[in-house]
Amino acid sequence: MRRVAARFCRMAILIIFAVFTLGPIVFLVGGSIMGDEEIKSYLGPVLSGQEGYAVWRLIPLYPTLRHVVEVLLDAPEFFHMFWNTAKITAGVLLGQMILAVPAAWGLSRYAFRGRKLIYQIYILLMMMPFQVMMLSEYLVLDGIGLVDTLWAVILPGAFSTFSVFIMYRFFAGIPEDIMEAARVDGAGEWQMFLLVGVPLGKTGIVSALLLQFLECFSMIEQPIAFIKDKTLYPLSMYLPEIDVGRTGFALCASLIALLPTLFLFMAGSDYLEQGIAASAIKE
Amino acid sequence: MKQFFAKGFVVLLAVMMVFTILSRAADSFLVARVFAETYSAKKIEHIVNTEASVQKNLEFPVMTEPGLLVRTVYVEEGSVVKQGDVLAQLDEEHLEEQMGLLSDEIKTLRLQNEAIAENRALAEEEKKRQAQRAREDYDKAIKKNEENLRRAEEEVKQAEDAINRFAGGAGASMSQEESEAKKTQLWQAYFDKKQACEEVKRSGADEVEAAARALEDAQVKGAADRSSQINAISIEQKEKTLEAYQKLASSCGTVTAKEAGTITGVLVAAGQMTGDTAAFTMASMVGGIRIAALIKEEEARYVERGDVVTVEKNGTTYEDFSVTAIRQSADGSVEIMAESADHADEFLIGERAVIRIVKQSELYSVAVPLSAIHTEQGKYFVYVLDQKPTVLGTEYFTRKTEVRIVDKNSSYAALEEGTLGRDNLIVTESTQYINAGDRVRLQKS
Amino acid sequence: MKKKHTGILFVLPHFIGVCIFLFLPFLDVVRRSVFRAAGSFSGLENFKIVLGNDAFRLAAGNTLRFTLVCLPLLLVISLFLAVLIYGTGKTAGALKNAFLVPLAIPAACVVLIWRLLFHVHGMVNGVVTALGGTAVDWMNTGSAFYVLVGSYIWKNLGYVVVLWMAAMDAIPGTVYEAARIDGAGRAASFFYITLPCIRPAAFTIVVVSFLNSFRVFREAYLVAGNYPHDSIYLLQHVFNNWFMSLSVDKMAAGAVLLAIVICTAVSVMQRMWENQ
Repeated sequence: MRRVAARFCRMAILIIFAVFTLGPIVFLVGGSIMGDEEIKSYLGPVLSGQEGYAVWRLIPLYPTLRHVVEVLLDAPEFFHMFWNTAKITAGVLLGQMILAVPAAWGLSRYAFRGRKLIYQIYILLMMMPFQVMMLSEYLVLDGIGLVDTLWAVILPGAFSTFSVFIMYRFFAGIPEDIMEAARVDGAGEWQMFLLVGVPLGKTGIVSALLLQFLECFSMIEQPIAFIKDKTLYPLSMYLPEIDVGRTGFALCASLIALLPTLFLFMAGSDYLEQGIAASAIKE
Repeated sequence: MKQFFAKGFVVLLAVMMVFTILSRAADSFLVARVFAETYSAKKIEHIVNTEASVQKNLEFPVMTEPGLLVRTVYVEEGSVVKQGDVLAQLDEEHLEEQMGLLSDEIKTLRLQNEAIAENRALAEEEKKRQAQRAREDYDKAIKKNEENLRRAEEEVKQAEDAINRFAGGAGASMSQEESEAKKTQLWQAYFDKKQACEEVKRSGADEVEAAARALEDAQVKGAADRSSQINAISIEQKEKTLEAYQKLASSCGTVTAKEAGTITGVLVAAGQMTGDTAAFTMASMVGGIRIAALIKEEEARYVERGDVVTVEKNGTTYEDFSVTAIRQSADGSVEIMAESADHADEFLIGERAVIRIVKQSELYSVAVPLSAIHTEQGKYFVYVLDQKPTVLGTEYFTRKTEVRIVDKNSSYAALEEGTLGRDNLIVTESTQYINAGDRVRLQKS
Repeated sequence: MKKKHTGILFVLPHFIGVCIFLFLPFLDVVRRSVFRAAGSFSGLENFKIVLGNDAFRLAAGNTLRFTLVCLPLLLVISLFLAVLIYGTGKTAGALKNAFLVPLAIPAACVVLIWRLLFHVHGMVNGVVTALGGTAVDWMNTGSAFYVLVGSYIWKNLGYVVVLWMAAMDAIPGTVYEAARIDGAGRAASFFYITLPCIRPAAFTIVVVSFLNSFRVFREAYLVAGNYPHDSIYLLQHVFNNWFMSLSVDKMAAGAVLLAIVICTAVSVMQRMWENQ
């Protein structure tokens, strides 16, 4: 009996916290299919300074797809920015796939001279928040003339050391005897990387890329600093700029903007978990 | 589950791609495409285009001698005649008769004048003789008067002397009383003589005056008699008439047009006598062409006297007409007249022609195509394009700007300065109805 | 591990990129921090200026305060939740995912919700007044700080929970088994087995959370823009302002200072862990 009560209590606490973390999504879903009139009647105090306090209803009384249609068909700028974000993300991920994966492989499997130093530099850079790197990045981007282009956001992201760090952990976990067996079979270094490393380190690669993907989709500081041209703004800078009066539209746009990350999250939550875990397990 | 979301992610990207295209398509379909331009300095042309008709211009009479019998009238109202055309034929016999009468009258008057001249010569002789006599009488009267006066003054002188002598001692021998008496006597005589002298003087003057009057009377000319002069004048007139008659007779009694033109009035009829007034009235084209047209009241604002009028008739264009008169008519329309001094032989009265008056305004510094002007509740406004940098690049948004129209015609409107900027792009045409604040696509023209 | 120089060929392309875009510019910034903007050597002058700068001090103070409040809070709550989840067996995965969801939600997507919730007339105040409290102007008073703390915990909770659970997973089940046989209760086994076993992992967890706390600017910026209430005026705001005015010398000094502080903090933590 006591066990059941304890179990119930535990579930209750967990569910409360789950509501805390999931609440915004429920809010977005409800708001996306709510009509303007209904939204106004609930949010009057916030939107138009009425007396009292705003209230909310998770499931609309009068659901409508108007805002969905509005976002999908009537807001080309939304898509423009969505693809800006997509370009940034694609650029960053591609760069990491081509450069960071081998780098992590090289760092984790080979004991060349300077390996330790490079590893230290990577850890150091990984720890530095954007505040610290902002000026450095700006100076070099300005020097190459990339400021105010998407490259200004893509290139520093593509050389992010954090994903190297994650993948390093997974590559390092591959047993040495598998490598030896491959070597005995006469595989070259590159073949070993592609045929042994990549398949076995898949979890690490996917989780690192996934984390990077999430990072790219909510990127804010870098575009603020390096992009002035409005046509290059990513989606994360568009959503907060929608008029207060278009709450329903904004909620729906937010929901749609959230879908790609949410879908990838759902599909790759296992990888994600492992990636996160990898960042904490000691070498 | 994971498979589902992984596939879902791919599908999602595809869906986003599709809707990207769809929303762009919807956007390009819904967003109005506009043509725009900045304002320009322009003269606003007002064109009045209407049909007009050729009017009679200067009318003048065709005269003939009065009192002649008309035998035939060859023209009627509206006939177009050339110079020298016969308008009417007078009765020649009647003309001859009239000529005979006239020369008789002249003869009579001449005879009268001769008689008058003779009588006047006789009367003047007589008058001269009488004047001669009066002159002689007058001279005589003066002489006699002078004689009488001299004699009377002599006597006064003697009396005076007598007084002086007595006073000088002639009377000393006499007693006081005697001398006093004598003195009184002498002074009495002196006063008498003096009085007589005055008398003579007065009567003499009267006589001279009478003689002078007689002389004046004699010198005055006889009563004025102008009848001979009057006769001379009427002779002259009659001779002129006669001369005119002779001329008529020499042209067999025809009345001819002296200029080309159109008969506008026939005032004589066969079998009637010609009167003092004109026999015909004619409008000649020689003085120029006059054209009249009715235009609308609002068009009339742009027409002024002196404006150049282009007249087009049967494919020919005449540029030298100008407006000579503008008359408001009762029904609200306005009649305008235009004249040209030329082209007499190219127009006929009553002919129709198309006229056009192009009136250019002053140079307005702010003019836009009329299609740019919108109206709402009696106020005029234009849409000005504002450039804004947006996510999709630099885009144009409309802004309502109220304007005042100074002048306009069917294609341009001149606006009051100050409300529009030099660089403002003004929407002149739009594929769709636009509102203020709308996003629009600018078509490069 | 092979001692082969081919290894460097794998690393080199990425390392060159890192050098060009991150590392060498970073060294350049370190150099610039001791030079004036005009180019002359200035020693520690820039650092003095930055340390004397009111905005920098306010932001540094806020950041420090934020870290001190958030870190313990986050670590304790997440550990608590991790322990709870650890006992649920099958549903653990679903719950972990639920807690991780905020990680997948771009900050921009929830900005609007935050604004609606924490407006003076917003829903949070609605609830507060319904419970008998007084309404608070969350965004324009010191309360903004707690909104930010909440955002940070919301965002990072799942991440840290996953980290804790990974650490706990690494503890062999036999250890608990042995303890139970020895008669240890649930609480005892938590304090005597779980905690000591996850202590090494805790180091990285603390460091990761510490580093993540510098990213909370995202939420602060989206909710309050470039000029937020003083209580949530963060270092990134200062750097952004210096960036706008192109005060390169100040930025360089600030960046170096911050880098030093972070490195020091991390190595101090490392020392603490190793000494225990």
